[in-house]
Amino acid sequence: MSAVDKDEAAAAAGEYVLGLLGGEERARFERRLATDGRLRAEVAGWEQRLAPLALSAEPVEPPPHVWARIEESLRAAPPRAWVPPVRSSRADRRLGLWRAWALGATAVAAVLAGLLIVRTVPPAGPALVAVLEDQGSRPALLLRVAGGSLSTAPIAALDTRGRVPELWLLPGADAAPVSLGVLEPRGRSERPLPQQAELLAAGRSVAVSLEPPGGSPTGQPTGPVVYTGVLVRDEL
Amino acid sequence: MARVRAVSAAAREGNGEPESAALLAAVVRGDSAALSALYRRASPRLFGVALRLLRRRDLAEEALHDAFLKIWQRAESYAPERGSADASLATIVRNTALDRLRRHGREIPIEDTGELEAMLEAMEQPDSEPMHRLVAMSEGQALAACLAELEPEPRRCILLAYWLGYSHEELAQLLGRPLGTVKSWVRRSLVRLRHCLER
Repeated sequence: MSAVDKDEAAAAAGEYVLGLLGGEERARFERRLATDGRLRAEVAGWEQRLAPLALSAEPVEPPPHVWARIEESLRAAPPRAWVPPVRSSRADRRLGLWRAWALGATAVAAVLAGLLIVRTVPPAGPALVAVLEDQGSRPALLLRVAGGSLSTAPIAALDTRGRVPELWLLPGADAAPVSLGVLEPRGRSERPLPQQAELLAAGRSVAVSLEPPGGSPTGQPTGPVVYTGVLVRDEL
Repeated sequence: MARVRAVSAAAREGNGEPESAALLAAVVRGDSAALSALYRRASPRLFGVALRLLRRRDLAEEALHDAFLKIWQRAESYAPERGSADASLATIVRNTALDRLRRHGREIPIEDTGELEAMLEAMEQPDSEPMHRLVAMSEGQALAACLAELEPEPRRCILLAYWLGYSHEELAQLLGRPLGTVKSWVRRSLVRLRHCLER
């Protein structure tokens, strides 16, 4: 990377972190982030470099009800177990939080689906893709459902911290998440579609949580949700 | 004397990184008491960040709430080698507040430029509390030194954008400068900061 390119990347990433990019400029930058690991690192670097400006803010004691509300929200909303998880068929508040994170990534999905190298047989039903993003809205994992196979490819190395990534489908508003199986954290996964395949449809959300080795012991997510996405038809 | 005490207190706050990192590691293991301890330690500064951006207590409270949910949920994705735990917390809170600012617009506009001038003066004079707090943090010293190397108006752009969430257009309007000038000031200043911090 030339010195000029490095400076350009530094300036663009800095503007993004400062929050100066708006609307279309911001969307364009985020599309660049999707495929440019160095740019993502540059963004992370600026966040760290400028953080002392935030940390040197004048401290203001927040009122006690703020913590009370945080506790209440966390208690009401697994998948990250705040208290031992209770199996429940009604999961609206949990799903409310999930929905808040499920980011539409339709345009990006169409572009990035081409990056999947895994071959699948010609599809029987419509092929579906999803780009799963982290909570910083950075693309992390590609998912493709086609021709009886479900395949995944990480965009950058999945950070699993010694736990096991498990893929989940949210079939609808009142339904509990359905496991689509444990993923290979380092490379691509491919497996035949699980029995719940008929639940896979465009518009449904998918997510990855981090589970103990072997996957969730309860059949429901027990660990933190790290990536979320939405299934869309693969038009390519 | 009061100033010396304030700086020492700030220094103690600023050097708490090992504690934050340890608490965050415990949060990763699912320790809810650790999250509570992290909140007790960090929330005054983090609330200050949100308040400065949103300038309304109720919105800043919501942002702090949302940010801590994210901190709990995202704890697994932290890695010490990626940077400081305190910095990561501050980043999440700032980004959450910035998102809200974008969605809802600036609730309390700074119409009176007199007020803005006073705020800026309070913020950027080397002798001011914010700069004292910045320098009192070991991680803040390099940044303070590099910021000092910038020209005053470009430096204001960086600080106004970071602290108050101003856009290019708002900066141009506030400083009474053309949009193109502000944009190139910011880009050049960022490049200079980057090089300076690399030294």
